[in-house]
Amino acid sequence: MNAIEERVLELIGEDTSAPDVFVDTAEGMAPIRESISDAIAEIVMMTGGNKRQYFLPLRSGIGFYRIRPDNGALGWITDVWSVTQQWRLAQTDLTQLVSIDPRWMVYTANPESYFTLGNDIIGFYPKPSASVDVMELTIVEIPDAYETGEDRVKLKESFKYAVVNYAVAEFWASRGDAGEAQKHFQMYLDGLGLKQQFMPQIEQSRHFETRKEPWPRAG
Amino acid sequence: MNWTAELVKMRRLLRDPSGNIWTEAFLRHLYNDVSQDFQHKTNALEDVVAQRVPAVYQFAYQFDWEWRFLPTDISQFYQCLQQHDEKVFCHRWEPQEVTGISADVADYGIHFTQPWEAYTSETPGDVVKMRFPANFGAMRFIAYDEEPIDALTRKLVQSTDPSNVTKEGIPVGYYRDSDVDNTYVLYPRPSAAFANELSGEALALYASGDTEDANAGTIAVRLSSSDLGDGASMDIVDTTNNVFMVYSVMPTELRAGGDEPDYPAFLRKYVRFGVVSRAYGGNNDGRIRSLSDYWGLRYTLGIEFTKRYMRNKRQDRDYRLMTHGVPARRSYRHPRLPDGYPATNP
Repeated sequence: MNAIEERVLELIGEDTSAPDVFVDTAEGMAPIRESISDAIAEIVMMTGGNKRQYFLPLRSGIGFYRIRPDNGALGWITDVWSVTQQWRLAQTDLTQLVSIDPRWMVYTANPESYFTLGNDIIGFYPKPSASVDVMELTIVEIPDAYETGEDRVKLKESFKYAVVNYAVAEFWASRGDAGEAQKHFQMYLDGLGLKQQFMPQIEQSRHFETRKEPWPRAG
Repeated sequence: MNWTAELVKMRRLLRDPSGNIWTEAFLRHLYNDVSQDFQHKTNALEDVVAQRVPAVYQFAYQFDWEWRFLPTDISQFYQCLQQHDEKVFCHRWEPQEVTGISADVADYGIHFTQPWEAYTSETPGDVVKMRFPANFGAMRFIAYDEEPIDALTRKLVQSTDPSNVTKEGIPVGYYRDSDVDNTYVLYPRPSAAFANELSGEALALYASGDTEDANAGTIAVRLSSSDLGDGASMDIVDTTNNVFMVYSVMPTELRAGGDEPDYPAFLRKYVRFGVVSRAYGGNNDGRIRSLSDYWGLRYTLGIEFTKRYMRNKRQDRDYRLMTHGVPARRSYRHPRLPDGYPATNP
């Protein structure tokens, strides 16, 4: 059981030394760990906090590669560096490629730009003319769910309080208390600094209000 | 994580682990519905496929009634030849025969029951239909043999080319044939094909080294083009002499416990939230409005988060603002004073 899990159990009224419902086994802690993993995935999805580098050896004439990281899912690509050419590749997209060069899939040369397709495919323009270069990809990796209390939790330290509230909110929601769940979920958004950005659009409709006496009506 | 695992998670949130209130079929229906809704609102799913020409089908059939005997839950099939007067005809002169007309109209060429037969050295008398992937939503980009092709209509093709059925060459466009069959036609018919690579006896289905993804309805997963190993593994998408398309995906419906949802694992929780919200909002013994509203809020926020995630994917772009029709950079040949200088009295 890691520190975040202990904080969650304390907030929901469990004895961390001898838990009653969420016992310290893989099965017993599964609901809490799933909530924490979901929160971490959401935070990385929003902030791009968990980055990792991969090396992609290019093949002659092949322009598209499907990337499947071992430790998580490909969030997005932040930097692409050509090891041989020692230059940074610019990000582009299909619209721009078709606009500047309808035969963009035909030419081969040293890749100068890259683009992403779908969730896990990267394309290079121009496609490599030889199997010599290696691309250094820096990607935001959305981590897989952790499984045991000893696993590394890939989370920025200051977000751990927010994650605790996320898991507590899910606990209360799964116990049928929507009010308590809502309270902790708002604390989670507060912890991330996202409440002002997202919650007002959903919860509040802003309007001007005056407490003056209404204008007297005739008659 | 498959549908069974998703179901366990949702039932925990619904406080109904044994399924006493919400049945598996009911939740699965909601899950498929919410999956479509989530895709409509976020466009999070996109895929890439390289299709070989001609398309290869598992079965061909003639009459509509044959459909009920096909294993349609796993793939799609090719309806060959032409329907007429409760019969199926090959040649265009056959309807004349059965209606008692003695004249025989000239036909364009041979007819086939499998599209690959169109490439057996005779001129085909039918268009060669291709099939979009089963999860096809909308086209983003399409190319044949690495060159973009245009979206056409049958009307445009027939209006401009009297020999459009038999014309052969490098395709310049495609038009949709049938949304129900999920088919399209390349125009003109590609002269290059992989049919001569087919091996096997009788009805040859695949080129050597290929396998078929029956569930997705797309062919030609070439195992030898995959690099598997430590770190990031990769599939290589071959584009030469193939149709290459980028398309938005309509999520595949889940039907059984082992089915895998299309969404990446980190987005599936939002679909679950939407399902739980709708389940709590249903008119049955489990109806709790406050929880329906709470999970509905979580679902709505999930959509907003996903939209931001989609924007994050473009964060490495270098943008510059441009006005339509104005050159990117103005070239000042001479120093110039402001238009309003010198100020003069009216």
